[in-house]
Amino acid sequence: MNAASPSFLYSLYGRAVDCDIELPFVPRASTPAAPDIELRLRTESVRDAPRDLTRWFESEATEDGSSLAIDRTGEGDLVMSFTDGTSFRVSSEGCSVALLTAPAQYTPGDLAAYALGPVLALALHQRGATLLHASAVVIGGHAVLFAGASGSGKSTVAAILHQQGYAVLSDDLTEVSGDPPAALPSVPAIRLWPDVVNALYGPGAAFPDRAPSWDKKMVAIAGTRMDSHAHPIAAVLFLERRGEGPRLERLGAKDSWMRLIAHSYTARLPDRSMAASILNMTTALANRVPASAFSAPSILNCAGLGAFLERELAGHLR
Amino acid sequence: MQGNLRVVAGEDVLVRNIGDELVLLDLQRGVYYGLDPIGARIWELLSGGLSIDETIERLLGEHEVSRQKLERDVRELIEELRERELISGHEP
Repeated sequence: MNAASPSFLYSLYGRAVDCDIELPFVPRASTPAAPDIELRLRTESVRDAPRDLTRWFESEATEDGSSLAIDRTGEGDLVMSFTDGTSFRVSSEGCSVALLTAPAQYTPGDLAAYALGPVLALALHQRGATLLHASAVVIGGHAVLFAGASGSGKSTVAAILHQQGYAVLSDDLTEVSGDPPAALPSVPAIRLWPDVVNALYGPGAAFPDRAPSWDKKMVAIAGTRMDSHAHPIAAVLFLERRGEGPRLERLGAKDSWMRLIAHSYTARLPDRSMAASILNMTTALANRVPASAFSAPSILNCAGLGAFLERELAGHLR
Repeated sequence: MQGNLRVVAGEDVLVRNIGDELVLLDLQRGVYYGLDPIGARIWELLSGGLSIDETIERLLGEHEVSRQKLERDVRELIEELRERELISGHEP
């Protein structure tokens, strides 16, 4: 690293992440540590597009038409590209992430929203971590996972429970490790659509830390655990039939596993080296952790959600 | 298919129990397959080193089912697993 480069240390996904810009909505790490991952988001670090790219993975387009592609460079690094022209290079060992291209108007907050979500998650995958598309909330000292596709309400449920006094470990991608499985904290922020922000915090709520160019706002969540402490997972709740609940329907192990594979962040990557880890993670969860289909309540009817979950999951929170 | 044939899982196949069922992952193709509890038991016996005939005898002692139906079911499953290259057979 250039000695003149600024350096800001964060604790993200249980790793020490050294970033060359100050991230607008993430508290700095309280104790110094040797960085596990270097995150380079300064425009000065933008390099020419890497050569010898071969297409490795291409996602299906989401409802809003966005998608992502991953190419592999000749050196084995990965380049993750989004439809808006933003792209990042992730080193083959997952120890560095660098911005390659971005629209000129993007703010540090915009770039961080990408980098701290799918891009850092890809770096973690390269480091051997397994992640689920799930938010994670601490209830009774245990992690409860809310798994679902984009738009299923993972972040909204996390924000509702955070407002009711529960610590949030993750709003979108949760690293799961060990057997019995445990959840690690990811990023101390929740990404919310403006209507959800208004409904939960009121139209007058000010969020100076949000990423201004994005429709989806990042809300810093004070009080979220910032250490690398893993919480044993007490339940996995799959978000289905939004707005009709709260209601839980218990799932068998096989039904749970099929959903877990569908929501595994990198299960669709053609990466044989990680297939066994993903299979181990999903089968450990399916076999050891109770799972239910969860109908979340609407925001207007969410006042008792935390109490409902504590009551329904009481047997698993001991 | 010889009754004394023994089968082994393919080199690129990962197998895990989920409840009383089995999941097979074909690493080459990136495809998952599921076996119900009966299929999982057949897999358990075959992968434990029993021949096809020995597997059928063992299962006849565990279930009230005609030999004819059981033989057909076991052989159909093995044939399907072989077609998908999830197992390979060898003489004892």
